[in-house]
Parts: sequence; C-alpha cells; structure tokens
Amino acid sequence: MSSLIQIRGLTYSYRRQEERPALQGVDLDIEPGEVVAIAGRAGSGKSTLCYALNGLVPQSFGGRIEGEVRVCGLDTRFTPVPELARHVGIVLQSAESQLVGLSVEEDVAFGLENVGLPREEVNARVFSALRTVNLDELADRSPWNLSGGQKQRLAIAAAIALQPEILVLDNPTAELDPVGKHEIIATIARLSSEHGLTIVIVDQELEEVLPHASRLILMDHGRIVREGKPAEVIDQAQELVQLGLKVPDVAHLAWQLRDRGRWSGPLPLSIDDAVQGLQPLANLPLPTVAPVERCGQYGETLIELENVSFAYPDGTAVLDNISLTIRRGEFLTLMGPNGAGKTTLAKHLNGLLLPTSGKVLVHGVDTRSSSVAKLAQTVGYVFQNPDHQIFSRTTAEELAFGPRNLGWPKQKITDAVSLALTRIAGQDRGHDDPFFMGLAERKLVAIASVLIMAPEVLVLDEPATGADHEAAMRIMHHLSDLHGSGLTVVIVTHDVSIAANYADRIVGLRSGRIVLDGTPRETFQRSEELRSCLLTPPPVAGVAQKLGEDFSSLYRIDEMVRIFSRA
Amino acid sequence: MSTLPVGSRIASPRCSRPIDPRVKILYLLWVFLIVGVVAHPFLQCLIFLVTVAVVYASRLSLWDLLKAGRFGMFMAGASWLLWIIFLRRQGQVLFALGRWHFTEPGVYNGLSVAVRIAAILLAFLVVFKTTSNRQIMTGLYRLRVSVPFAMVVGITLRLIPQLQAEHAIIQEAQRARAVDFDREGPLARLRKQLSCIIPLALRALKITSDLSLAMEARAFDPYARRTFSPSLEFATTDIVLLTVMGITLALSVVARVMGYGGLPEPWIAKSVR
Repeated sequence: MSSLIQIRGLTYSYRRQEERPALQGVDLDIEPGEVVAIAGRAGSGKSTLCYALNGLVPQSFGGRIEGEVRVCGLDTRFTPVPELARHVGIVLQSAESQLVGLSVEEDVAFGLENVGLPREEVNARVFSALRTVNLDELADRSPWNLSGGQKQRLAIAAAIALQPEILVLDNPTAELDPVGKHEIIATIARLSSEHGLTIVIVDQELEEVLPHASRLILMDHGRIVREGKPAEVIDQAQELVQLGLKVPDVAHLAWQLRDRGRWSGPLPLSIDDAVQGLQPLANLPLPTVAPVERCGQYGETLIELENVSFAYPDGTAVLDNISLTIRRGEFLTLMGPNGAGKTTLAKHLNGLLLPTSGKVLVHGVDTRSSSVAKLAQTVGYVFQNPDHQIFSRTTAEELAFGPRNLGWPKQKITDAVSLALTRIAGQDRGHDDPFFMGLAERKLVAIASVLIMAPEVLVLDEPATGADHEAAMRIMHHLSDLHGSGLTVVIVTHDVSIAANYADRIVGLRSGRIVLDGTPRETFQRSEELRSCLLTPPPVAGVAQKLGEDFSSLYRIDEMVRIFSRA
Repeated sequence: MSTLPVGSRIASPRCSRPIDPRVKILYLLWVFLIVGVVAHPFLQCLIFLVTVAVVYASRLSLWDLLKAGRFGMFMAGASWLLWIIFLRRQGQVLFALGRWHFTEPGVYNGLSVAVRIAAILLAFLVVFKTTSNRQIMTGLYRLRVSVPFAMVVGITLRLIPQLQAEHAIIQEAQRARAVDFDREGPLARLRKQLSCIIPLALRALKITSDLSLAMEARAFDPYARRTFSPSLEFATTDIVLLTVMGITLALSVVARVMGYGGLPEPWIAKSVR
C-alpha cells in the first residue's frame, strides 16, 4: 500500500532567504491512521513542513523548492491549495487568527461554501463537524466569546468539515490553559480512534501528546534528526536536551535517576509507569531529607489589595472582593483558568485598571490618586506579546523609551541603557533592530525596557507562553536571576511547571475570587482547590502522591532525585 | 468607532423577520446619496432624525452607538466649529459670544457638514451592528458586486473589532512604560501615538497575513464559484422599505434639479459661491 503522505528529498527556502533553507533533504512517509508528533526548537522547520503538506509551501509563500511532496497521490507543488484543502485540514497555533466568521456556525461553513457545496450539505456538515468537537450547542455564539480551547476546537471543526483524510495541527495548544490543552488532546485522540483520521501534530509540550502518538519525529535545522516510537525517542533524553526540547517531567526524573544508577529500563512516559518504576525504591528505608523551601524572609508590604472588585463598563464582573498582600522579595504566580481574572488582577497592580470598589495601595498610595506613569516607576508591567510594545528601530532606542517618558536626564538614560544592554544581550547589540530578533530576545528586550525604569515589582503576563522550551527557560532563568538580586516578581501563568520550579507563592483564582494562596508545596497538596482552579499538580507531584504519604509533599524533580539517590 | 467590542452584533432587530441584508446595504447607500443630494441643513437634520429612528427600530442604544462612533462624532463637531470660525466674517450675524460672531453661513454650512457625517456614521454603525459579515458578503454578492470585493468588505469588517482590541492592548502596554497620552499639547500627543501606530501597523500585517493563510487553507479562492449562505429572499417589509427609499431619493433628486432643497442664498459661503 502506498503511503498517504510521501515526501522525498524536500528542500525548501523562503523567498529572499535562499541561503538559509527552512527544510533540508526531508524524506518522510506517513501511513493512513497514523498519529505523528513532530517536535523541535523554534526555526527547526516544523511549521514549514506542515505548510508543505497542504501546498501553502510553496504556492502561497513562494520561495525555492526541490524534491517532492505527495499527499493522497497529489503533488502539492502543482495541485491548487483549495483542492488540497479537501484532503488536508490545517489548524494553526493562534486560534483567533483563524476565525473568519462571526458565529461558530458561520466559521465552520466558510470552507464548505468556498468549495461550492449545496446549502443543505453545508448545513449538515457544519453540525456534524460541530458535534464531533462537542461545540454543536454553541453554534450561534460569537467565536470571540469562546474560551481558548473552544476556539481551537472550532478551528478543528472548520478543518474536518471538509472531510479531509489528514489533519495537520501546528502547535495547537501553545497558547492554551491546561483545560484548553486537555480539550484539544482529547479531541485529537477521539478523531484518531473513532474517525481514523491521519494526524500530524507539532507540539512543544510532548507530555500530553505522546500517549496518543504512534510516532515521534524530532527536527533540527530543517532536517529530521530522529524518528521512531515515542518511547524509543524519549529514551534518548540527552538528545532531546541537545535539540532544545523539554524532556517530559516523569521521563526527566527517571533519566536523572538512571544517571545515578537508580533507574533501569526505558524512561517512562506516564505517571503510572514512573510510579511502577519507583515503587521498589520507595519501599526501601530512605533517609529523611527535609524538603528545601525556596521561600525566604520577605520584606515590607509593597502592594496591598483591599476588598477589590472590578467590573467592566458593560457590567461584566471580573474580580470579586479580592484581598492580597505582596511583600518585597516575593516570587508570586497568579494561576487559574481563562477568564478567572488573573490579567485583570495583574493590571490593578500598576493602576492600568482601577477597582470598581475596594482599593489598591502601592507603597501605601491609592492607585486612584496616582497616574500609571508615576506607578510605572514602582511597578513595572510586561505584556504577554512583546510585539504590542516594541516600536523602535534599535534596541537602545526601545530601552530608552520609558526613561524618556519619565523625563530622566540624557546621561542617566545613556547609562541605564548601557547597563540594560549588558544584562540582556551585550553592549554591541544596541543598534540591532528588535523586529528581527527571535521571540525570546524580543521578550527580553520588552522586559528590559520596563526594568530600566527601576521598578521594585515586576509583573509579567505569561512570560513564557508561545516560546519554545529553550526560549522559555532563558526568560525564566533571567527572571530568576532578577528575583535573586532582590526584585519582587509577579507572573501570570498557566504553566504549573513554571510555578513549581520558580515561584515561592501561588495564588489561584477562579471566577474572580482567590481560592488558593500558599507555597507551591502547600498548594500542590490541596487537590480539591487545585481542581476548582482547573489546575493539575505537576506530573512529578502526581508521581510523589501516588508513591504514598511519605512522599506526598514532594513536587520538584531535584528533590525527588535527591531522596531516591540515597536509597 | 473606537470602542466597538469584538462580537458585538445584535442578533435580531425588532421586526419579526430580520431585514434582508441587501436592504440594509441599500439603506447605507440611500443615506449616503440623500445627504449628498439635499443640501438644506434643516432637511439634512430631518434625514439625521430618520437615521436616529432606525437606531431605535433596530433595538440599539443610541448612546452606545454615539460612544462607539465618538471619533466620527468628534470630527462632525469639529467640522461645524471650523466652519463657524472660518466664516465668522461672512453674512448675517446670528449671535455673538464676546468677539466671536456666529454668522448664518458659518453655522448653517457647518451644520450641514456635521449632520452629513453624523447621519452616514450612524447608518454605518446600525448596519454594521445588526448584520453579520456573512450576511453582508451574501448581500453584496446578490447585489451583483464581485466576489473578491464582497470578501474584502466582509474581511475588513471582521478585522475592525480585532484591530480595535489590539489598539487598546498596545495603548495599555505603552502606558505601562510611563506614556501619558492625555498630557501635553496636540503635537506631543501625536508623537506619543507613534508608539501605538507602529506596533498596531505591524500587528495588522501579522493578523491579515495569518488570516489569509487560514482562509487559503480552508479552500478560499476569490475567483472560484462559491456558495453564499444564507439564501436571501425579499419579504413585504423589505419591498416596502426599498420602495420608500427609492421614492424619497428620486423625489429629492427631482426637487434639487427644480431648485428646491439647496442652501438659501444668504447662507452660502462666498468662497464656495
């Protein structure tokens, strides 16, 4: 039987980047019904490969292509994209950028109308696709009012409504909260098992995808560097690290123990496999090792929220009677599902939003009686997307923007820019154009352009979201260093692993109320409240809790390794 | 126009059957033409009152629409003021505030321009708020407008609220870097807006490029035959409305040709005489 997807010697360069091919000599066969996961650092060619499957590369992007891509027997270089769309559905990373219609139904119908199907068939297929992704009851809703996970499921429905044989998903969970991620993975699993769809999925976080994948492909510099069964590929953890990928937490734990001679056999992919492997060690008498708490002595109160409630002018209530104290030296994470009020709460910390009732005090001063410009010198706020902020032609200009607004003297600005450049990139990068930098560097520039105003508290909205593992780690290490040097850090994040590894306090929100507030160790043991915030503890905490009472407070890989290494 | 929230369309107007989108598009055209044909400010005020009545008939809040279109309304007010200032030495003085003279040409020419802007803006907002993109595209297509043009209009309308939301975020991001958009003179404020305009332009490019990619991946071909849903059929209400609009427009043209409905002689500004 011939493969559904056949790629032979595919080399491709984007227009005006002929010297830097995005794909180099790619050979790949994918059989009907396979679920193929593709991983690699940013710029490794994953998305380009996805676009090559439905003809967008090279037909829409132009550029130079060599080799051949055949999908369902059709050569994607010459078959028109609208024709290929009937065979290959594609779902992109940003759910919102794919919304065409202004109702859920309209959005799904768009592709069907494009191929000129009769109205009756359009309607039948719309509702069938919506039922498949469990959105049929929201057909009349505006897609803009859906949650992130629902929007991405809508994009899947729009793709499968054309009844393609292949569904390609390019980083579909990168911008979603844990609930959204879970919804997408469950949908993909169902499409594969019940509908026999061939699925190609690019994802940074392998943890959830791998149990459903039949094959894992690793890419680097436009080449496929390894492919095989997920367990076999993950077992080469060192290679994953070299490729800038995140080793799934449970596999990482076992890998560390294997290095210390405490784990034999293949690395696990699931919590249950990890528990099974660790159980013999857990049954041995283990030395008592007191868990190391990151939280230290905190200073005075910097920000205080007293019974803060907030509603938008249309009456939508977002925050409900929130009281919170942030002290100097804390590293606090605000967590919770989409719409819980995390960003709204964060925007209250520097006066971008003012409470409808209650008050926010920064250094004892009510934010109502101060301006955002004034508060920016005490509380810096970095937005999620650096592209909302960056506008200057050089990094140095970008960094100088805030101080200029504050009316600093010229020499003070020059000195501050010079110091900031040294911290993030190096003096010689001052003339670089920030628009041509990678995501991680742009984020660092955005952070530095706020930090240069020397705030005492830095608030960051989803600092690592959308970045690949390497970039995310670079950003988080930078924040950790800043925190180490005395900066108070508040981050809004969905990522429990970031909270586990960097924060010393977690505040969980649900429907505008604080339902959790404590150290990560306390928080991850309060499974009831965690669930109410639609959060799950990190996989390592899941392993520890399953190992028994003695281990239930552990949640970090390093402490688990320390304890089991002494077994 | 700056605060229309994303997904803010009203599902059903007051009448039992929604108005056909073609009628709504033609209503927009009607307002545009009739305020151009009729030049007498009092008649234009009457047309403006018709657009206000349509707002109420559509179950929309006039206040919300005025807020949504505040930039346009500001432009209308500013135009009125500029006419008053520039024509302060022409014609009969209606009244004076200190050294400022409010003359007939200034007040009435300004009113004429302001009401034109306000009526067109209100009509646009009503149509935009009560009609989905799909209906607009289908309506344009059924009015024999080319598919690419219908799609461009639909997609542009879809992008407006998204770009407004982006602008709001960008403005907040710059405020967090100590930009105070409400302080200093107009030139300084304009310069500060650069910090919003550049990221917004770049985001607009990114958003449109992503959208075009997504559309293409969903088999969009502007030159291929496509199905336009929903199917459209004129009901009695639509026909009545079209007839009324047609008759009033025809009467206005005839009246203008016969010399009625223009600006009275003393109100005409010398510079445009």
